[in-house]
Amino acid sequence: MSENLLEIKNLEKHFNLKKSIFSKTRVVRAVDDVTFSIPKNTTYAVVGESGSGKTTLGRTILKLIEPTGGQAIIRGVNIFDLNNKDFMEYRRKMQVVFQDPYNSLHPKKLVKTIIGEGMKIHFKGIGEEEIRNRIKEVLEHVGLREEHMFRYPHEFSGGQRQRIAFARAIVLNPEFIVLDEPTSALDVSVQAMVLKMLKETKRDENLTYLFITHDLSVVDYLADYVAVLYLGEIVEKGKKDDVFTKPAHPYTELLLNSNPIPNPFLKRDKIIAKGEIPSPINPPSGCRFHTRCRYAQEKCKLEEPVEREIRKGHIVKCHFPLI
Amino acid sequence: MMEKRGNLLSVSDLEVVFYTYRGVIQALNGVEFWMNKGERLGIVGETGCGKSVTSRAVMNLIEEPGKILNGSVMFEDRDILKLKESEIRKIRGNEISMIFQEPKSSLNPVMNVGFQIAEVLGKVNNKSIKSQYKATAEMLELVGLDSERVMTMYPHELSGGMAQRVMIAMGLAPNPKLLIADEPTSALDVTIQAQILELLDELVEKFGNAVMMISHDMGVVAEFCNKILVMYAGNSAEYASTEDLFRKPLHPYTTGLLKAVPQIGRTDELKAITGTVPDLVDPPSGCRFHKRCPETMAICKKERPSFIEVEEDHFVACHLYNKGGEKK
Repeated sequence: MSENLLEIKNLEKHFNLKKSIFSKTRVVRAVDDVTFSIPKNTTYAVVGESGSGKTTLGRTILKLIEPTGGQAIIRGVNIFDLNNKDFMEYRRKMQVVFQDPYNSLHPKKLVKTIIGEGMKIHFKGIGEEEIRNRIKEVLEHVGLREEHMFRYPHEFSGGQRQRIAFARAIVLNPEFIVLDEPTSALDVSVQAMVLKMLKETKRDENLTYLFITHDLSVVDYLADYVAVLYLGEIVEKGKKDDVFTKPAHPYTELLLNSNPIPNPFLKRDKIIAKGEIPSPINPPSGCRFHTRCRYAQEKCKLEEPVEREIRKGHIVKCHFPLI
Repeated sequence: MMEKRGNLLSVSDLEVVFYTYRGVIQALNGVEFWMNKGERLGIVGETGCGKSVTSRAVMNLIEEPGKILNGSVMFEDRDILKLKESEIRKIRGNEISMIFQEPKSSLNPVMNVGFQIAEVLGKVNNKSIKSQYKATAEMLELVGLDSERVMTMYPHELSGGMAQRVMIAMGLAPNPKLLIADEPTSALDVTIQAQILELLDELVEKFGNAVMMISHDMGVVAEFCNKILVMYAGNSAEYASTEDLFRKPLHPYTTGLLKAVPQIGRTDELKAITGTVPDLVDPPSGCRFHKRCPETMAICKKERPSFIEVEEDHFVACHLYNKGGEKK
């Protein structure tokens, strides 16, 4: 097994909700005791529905929001322990691309400024000439042209904007990029282009991705590893091929089955989930999925399941995994 | 052309423009399709292809600055575009009803759910709203909601899935001949989407309503609809049964779309369609797809292809095909 670039251990992000001075503070356990490791040069996907905490997870790892507990270890260093000054170097190495390309680019700045700004901060004393050459290089890499440097974000389509956002991320030679639903705002024909670009750049630049999404078919295309998140907890994780072909958690089975297939000749029996996704403010007791699980038994209501390894690297948190 | 090809709905030569400060957007440019009673048609296409405009034009709901320039929408034996407003009102929300993508913003935020459904039923049955609460409760139970609880709830108290169930109850309350569903599950999580599609499937099967489903998701349409219309830049590109369309896509755009959709278990590499969707203020001449088409020919730039039947019940607007189904 290859070396891990990033190890997340018992990561926790709890938000306090204060209703009024008289009521007790309630806690949203947005990310709860999450542990996983991302091997170098791989794509690790985190999938989940709304409220699963997938976006919070990505942002916490980048320290865009402060974690309430746990560790994120890169080469033996827990980056959560670093002060802002020491963390600077990691900021450069860890970049992010957000979901909405219409809101993540400054509307009044030229593409050149948007992409070049980070370089001025991280590579002190770099010359204008050098900056421009590097911008030109990354623009071409993401399938845009040199002259696009002198345009504003509104002059681009959604797919092109997402390329600019990606250019901004790779211009600093990062090692790790968090992709937070990078294609969900795009049409399929454009999505295909962006996905291919992501795959190729990863290979060419030796990148490692944390890919956050709700779309399982995109995960299948891009990811090597996958973790399934439900109400802040990882319920199943492992190699993508293992998890997708031999799902062991009933929730993973349900997600895979709910994903509509663009092929009318593949008929399958639909599993219809019971009820709605519960609120993460007051998650169900025992196994958090028991309220919607079709295999749930008494034990699931009472006892929280422990993680178990059902095959090498394939871990599931369920009392009665589907084996 | 007044040819009637479907016994429920027959749309031909539909042309819609929007007057904007940038110029005239030629949103629909000769859209053609038809539906039979009880059929489920999926209209697919990318952002800006005119699928939502089409669904609104069918109800004659194009508002300023838009205008329907041309075409006919035959609903059974009436041309909706030629009827008086008072006559259309009898059809809208009665014989044709609609559900939308954002259920919460289509519900009235200051009225409770019970009132809103009772209001629809009152209109349909020509009775007072008060007398319709019993029927309202039945509708709510039908869509899988606890009527006692939900009746007095306001839209902001509903989850996305519940709100869409309420919309379905309102849409089906008049037992319409045609239900137009505009991206009904796009705002929902996949497990909730599966619930809603299952519910819709069950109910329209039971009541025999025809459904026109607007969607950008090939998977949803493949699973729900028995006919598909592919639209591109304001044109009907291809129209066929779901099986035929997936078995043998004819239009290069349809082929491209199917190759671009990621699918679990798919092993071949994704293929994107080159270029971008054209600006409809200044659409490409001839076939609007010619600039992105891998099989473009000289004629494509000059002439708009007509919508022809290439195989039985398989229609396509592309110069590659002659009337006999042969490639030129």
